[in-house]
Amino acid sequence: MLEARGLSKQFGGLHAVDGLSLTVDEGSIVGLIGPNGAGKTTVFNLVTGQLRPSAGEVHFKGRRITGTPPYDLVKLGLVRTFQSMVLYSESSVLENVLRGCAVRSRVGFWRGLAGSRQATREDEKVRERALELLHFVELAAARDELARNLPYGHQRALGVAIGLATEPELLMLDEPVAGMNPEETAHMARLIRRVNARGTTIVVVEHDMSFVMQLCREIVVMNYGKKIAEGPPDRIRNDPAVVAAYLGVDEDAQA
Amino acid sequence: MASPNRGGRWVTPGFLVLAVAFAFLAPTLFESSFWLHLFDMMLINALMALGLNVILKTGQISLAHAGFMAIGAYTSAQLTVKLGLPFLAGFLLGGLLASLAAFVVGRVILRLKGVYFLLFTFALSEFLFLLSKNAPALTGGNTGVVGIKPPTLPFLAEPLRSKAAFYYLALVVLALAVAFVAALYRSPFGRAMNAVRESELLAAATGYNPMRIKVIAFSIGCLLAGFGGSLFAHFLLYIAPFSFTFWESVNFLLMNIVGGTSSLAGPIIGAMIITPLPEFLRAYVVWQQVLYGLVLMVFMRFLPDGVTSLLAPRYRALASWLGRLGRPAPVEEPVPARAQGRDR
Repeated sequence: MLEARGLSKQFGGLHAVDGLSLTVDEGSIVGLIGPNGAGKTTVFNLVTGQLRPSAGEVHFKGRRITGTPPYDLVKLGLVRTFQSMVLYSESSVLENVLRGCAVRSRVGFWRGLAGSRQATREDEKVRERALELLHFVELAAARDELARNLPYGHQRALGVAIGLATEPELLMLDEPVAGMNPEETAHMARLIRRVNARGTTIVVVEHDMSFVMQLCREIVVMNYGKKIAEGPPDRIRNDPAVVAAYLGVDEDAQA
Repeated sequence: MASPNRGGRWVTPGFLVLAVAFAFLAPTLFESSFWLHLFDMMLINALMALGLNVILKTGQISLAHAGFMAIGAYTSAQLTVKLGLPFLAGFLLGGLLASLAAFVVGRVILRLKGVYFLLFTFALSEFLFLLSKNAPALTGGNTGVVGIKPPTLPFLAEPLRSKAAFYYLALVVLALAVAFVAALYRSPFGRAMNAVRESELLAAATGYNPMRIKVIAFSIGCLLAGFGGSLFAHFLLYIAPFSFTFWESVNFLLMNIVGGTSSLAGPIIGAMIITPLPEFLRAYVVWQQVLYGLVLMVFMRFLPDGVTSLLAPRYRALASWLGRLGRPAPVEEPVPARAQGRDR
């Protein structure tokens, strides 16, 4: 579904990402991990259109999407969520999701302005769908709360709901459990599995090793901008290059 | 503090009916030329502030609003004076040209955000001011344009010479503009503007094209500014560069802040409060800007959402009663953001 080939990004003299290739199959949950500064977030931004690669190509559903701006990628079905709290924090929870739904609405500028019957009907449909999504992420009770007043875990869930509202085929999650306690983390893992079960392919960029090991069937490990390992969790766990990247090389053992 | 419950008592449907009745009867109640002049200016300024409100809706603060007003004013004035076109043609073309200019300039300068956009619009405002002073062929230079005719309408035999007659023209234009902007805010595009204002990053990540939305909003806001400029020209019958300085833009912004930006009543109430101020502060001209600064600070600190926030709760009920005129203020506790323990 998603294929990146020879993806590179330089910031001045720094090779943040260096010739990375990546394949994501439809229906899978793929984890992208690596130590701090490995270039995970850069890859994420390259794929989701926030950054332009210095070299390489990204294909989505057989279509070249290198350099396509985020708002057009959303229309194609490639959607991201954010690491930090990026929400419409001064708006209600429901309004947050409604804004996510808008991209799939077929009401044009003038029809919307005239408040035509079609627009009203569409509006009701969209509302229903937004409420359904809030039920799905278990936030229906908080629909009228301001987003900024939600507890942290719920804010992250709302972020996922906004992403889902755009009807993504591939949802890219940027560190979905960063800063979460074990309970919230388990909750998020369950949510991601349920999203996946609805037919959405998922890519997770994450720090939390155990979270990724449990969640993903396929893991890509990066270090210094390069892919150093790739495979199912069991293989990754015992891969010497991965162990070295995360724990450092034991110099005595090398000697 | 800004307790929205306080004002509820006196904004009743009865109050509103009175306000509308007053709007219609004002010219007959106040026959003095002084008051009529003020009322006419209030309506023009309300139209201007309303246009700026559309731009503020996307989170951009423009200090070039008076500049776009000037484009509308000069276009309308010159087309009617030099080419003898009817008022309505000058009015429409004035608005359209201001909007077109905003569209062209906006595509470039709306890439700037926050204070950078603000500074650039300040520069743009100065540029337009200097242009109007130094291009006599187009603008009559420092002398301005004289001999502008009062508005004529195709279905009226007489031009609208009196201040009272002009009042009703301006009232109709303002009412149409309010209806248009209310529909705009209620439409999906209104949702898009709110999204872009609150988080451009998230808006882009969910399929909104922030640049496109901001350019459209800027063009619409400046369309209203152009219309306002045309009304202004055909009201005073004389325009000169000094009518459209940067300070005028500041005034339009002040009207939005004092009235409140989150509902349509805001800019209109703001215009009603700010327009008469200079007349009553005449004796203290030297202190005027200082006083404005003080007013601004007091409002930012104690009433960040303007006078309308005092009316909020009952206004919401009224808003649905009026077929949702404007966007009701969001339902929230009257707790100022800073008093919240944590920001994130």
